[in-house]
Amino acid sequence: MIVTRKKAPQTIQELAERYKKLIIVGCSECAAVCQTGGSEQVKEMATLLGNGREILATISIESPCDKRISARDFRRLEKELEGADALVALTCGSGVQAIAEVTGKKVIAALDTDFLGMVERLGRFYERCSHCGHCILNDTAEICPVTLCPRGLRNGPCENIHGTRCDVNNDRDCVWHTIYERLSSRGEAERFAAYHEPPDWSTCRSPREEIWERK
Amino acid sequence: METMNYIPSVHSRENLAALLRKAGAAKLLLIGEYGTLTPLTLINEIKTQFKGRVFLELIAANKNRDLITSYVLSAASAGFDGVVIASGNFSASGPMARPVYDLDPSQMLSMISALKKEGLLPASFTIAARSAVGNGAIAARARYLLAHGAEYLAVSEQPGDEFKDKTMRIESL
Repeated sequence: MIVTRKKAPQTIQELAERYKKLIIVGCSECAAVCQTGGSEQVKEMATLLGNGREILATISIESPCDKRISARDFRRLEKELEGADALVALTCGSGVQAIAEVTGKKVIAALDTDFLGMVERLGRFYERCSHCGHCILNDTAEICPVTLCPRGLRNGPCENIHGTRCDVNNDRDCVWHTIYERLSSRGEAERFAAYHEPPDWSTCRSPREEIWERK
Repeated sequence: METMNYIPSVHSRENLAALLRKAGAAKLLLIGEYGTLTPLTLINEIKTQFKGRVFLELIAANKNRDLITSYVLSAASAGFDGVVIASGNFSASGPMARPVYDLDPSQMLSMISALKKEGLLPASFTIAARSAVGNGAIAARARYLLAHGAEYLAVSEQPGDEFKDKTMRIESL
């Protein structure tokens, strides 16, 4: 799930200052779970920006980052879109850009996009994957050191480990200690010596794309 | 077990001269990269004033692999007698800079060992790697480093018996 955070209300007001007719767009998937872009937050945004402006429509899209779904849902708002000066998107950055491409309109990003999160429960989101494109989880007892080590080390603990603790996040164990313990408990400690090459950045530089070939 | 006298940072040539006086009759110096002056620019002065061997503490932090290659080749060419590979302190310049860790110490070791095998580093150029001291993951990594090209571990605590013969002790100057 994409974890997002609300920008400050004052920032949104400043960004929307010159636009008089707005459409507020929410996301009923990730941003709804984060309570940053669900229907409640869409209403709050309409209230925040309604003073002195016209809110032409509010809409919650199932996956605004999916251009097919955005295009389908915006078809129902053709008239409002025509009259709108700008849209305010309570979505992740992909959603903002998909909406801009689909509508051709100015879109104000009302959220900051933080990370790809594992959900424990509402309000407890944890980064576990950096989508680096070179997954080593099969050697690391399904624990990602690229994400959980502040240095992103792919091959064992660094020299700064204090006992079992990380020197940067010293309230936590070093992730490589945790990996070693889990591998050892499974009788797979030999995997700890597996060498992981540095990523080949010639194949994973931004922007990344995946295009399926037609059969 | 050999001792390395550690100078983590040099901020001026006067500062260096004072540190070298302090080093006196030490046999081995380890020069760190945490100062405002890079050790690569100081090796001539160090070699003039200090008669022992001099190692560069080559940290992974805030260098990509191209720069690491350049540093190690420059270090050997300039007269350093070896390197101690380390991951380095996290964001030493403050919390605002984006930390760069293109290579980790094991990957650096692999790259530098390959340079030595290819003859791009002198045969006498020593490759050591910093290590913590401990059991479990720490000991397993130390074994890995020694098995994959590190001639010595460089540690700042008393090492366990298993590694004693392959350890250099780091002591602050």
